[in-house]
Amino acid sequence: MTSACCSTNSTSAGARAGLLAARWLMAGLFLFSGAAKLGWLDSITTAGIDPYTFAGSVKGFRLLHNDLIPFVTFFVPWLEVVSGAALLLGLWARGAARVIAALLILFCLAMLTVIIRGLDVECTCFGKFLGGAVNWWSILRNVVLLAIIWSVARYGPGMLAVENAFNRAASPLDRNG
Amino acid sequence: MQFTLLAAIAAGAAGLHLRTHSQRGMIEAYLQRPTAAEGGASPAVDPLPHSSVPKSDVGDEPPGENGGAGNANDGGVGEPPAEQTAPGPFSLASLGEMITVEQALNIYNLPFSDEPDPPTVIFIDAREREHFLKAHVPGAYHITPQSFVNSTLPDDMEFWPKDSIIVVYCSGGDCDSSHLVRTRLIHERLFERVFIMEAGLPGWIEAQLPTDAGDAGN
Repeated sequence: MTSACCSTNSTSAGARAGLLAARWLMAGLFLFSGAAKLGWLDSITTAGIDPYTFAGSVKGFRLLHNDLIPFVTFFVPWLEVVSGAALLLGLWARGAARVIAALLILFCLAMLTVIIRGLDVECTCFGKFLGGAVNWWSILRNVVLLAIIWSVARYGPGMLAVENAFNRAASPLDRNG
Repeated sequence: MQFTLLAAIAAGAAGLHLRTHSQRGMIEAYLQRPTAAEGGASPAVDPLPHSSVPKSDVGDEPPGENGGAGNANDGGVGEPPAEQTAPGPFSLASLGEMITVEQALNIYNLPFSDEPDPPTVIFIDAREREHFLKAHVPGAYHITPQSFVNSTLPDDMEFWPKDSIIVVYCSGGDCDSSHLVRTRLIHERLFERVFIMEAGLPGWIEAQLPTDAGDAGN
């Protein structure tokens, strides 16, 4: 990656701090989102739902065959948790950012079909947090999140990333430079 | 490469979690229910020959002081389960999971029949609270799928007889909340006779049946 803006060697401290903020923001959001859907937050916050309720929401989109819904009900939140953890640590951050970007694009498309078909589906995107019916604001919110996560996918994890330590260890020149 | 590895890790965790999760059976039971589009909803049931209170009477004056359909608030709590659970010619056995407004009305009226041991009848409104406050079936409890997660179930639910006749409704049509609540009541709370009023509250109102507004201790 040799972008003029943010290549590894030329990235300013401000830009790297910005990437860190974007990475941690998205990490927190998606760790919360995944944990809420898996029912891990029940005793902490009323924003949590559980897999059963999430399955009802997935079914409401009417995009998947019933046989697929149980797996998707667990796969999506686990993908959010795993990617969120990777972003938080700064390990495989670009890959995690791409995963989340792909999820957001899929969510946007699914929401678009819901609006076009005129279905009344409750968005359990972040558990009960930012809930309510799927509408254009839900899509706009995802587009904003997509723009944020795209910066990490494009320019890397920024500062305080575990993978930076690995990269320095692998490249002694980088350590001196 | 990282993308694929992360997806594989998540898929593995999801597969393992799904196999061991206690709610798996509940999710599958919920998903297996027939939908209206598949022609499975509202199984054909002959019009009920018996109603202890004519529809027109109920429309003018709801039975029971609180309008309750003999629900647990009205004295059903703690009473021994009725031996005869389907009094009169009204046969619950003929009902499927989905019932019509007329069938729901017959259930509503069961506690007010002349039978010696009328069953406990409970109506549950599974819609969002703001909608419940505007209008609901008289005496209905407000229980949403979220109530089971947040432990906001009615305090007296543990005293409801397990053979209570429970009717759950939401907004009718595509609304899924009643199905989610029904499956939980059966699988988690072990109630056996839980029906869904398919037309929801709009159907109840369309039939010019009485409603209550506000929060009556729910």
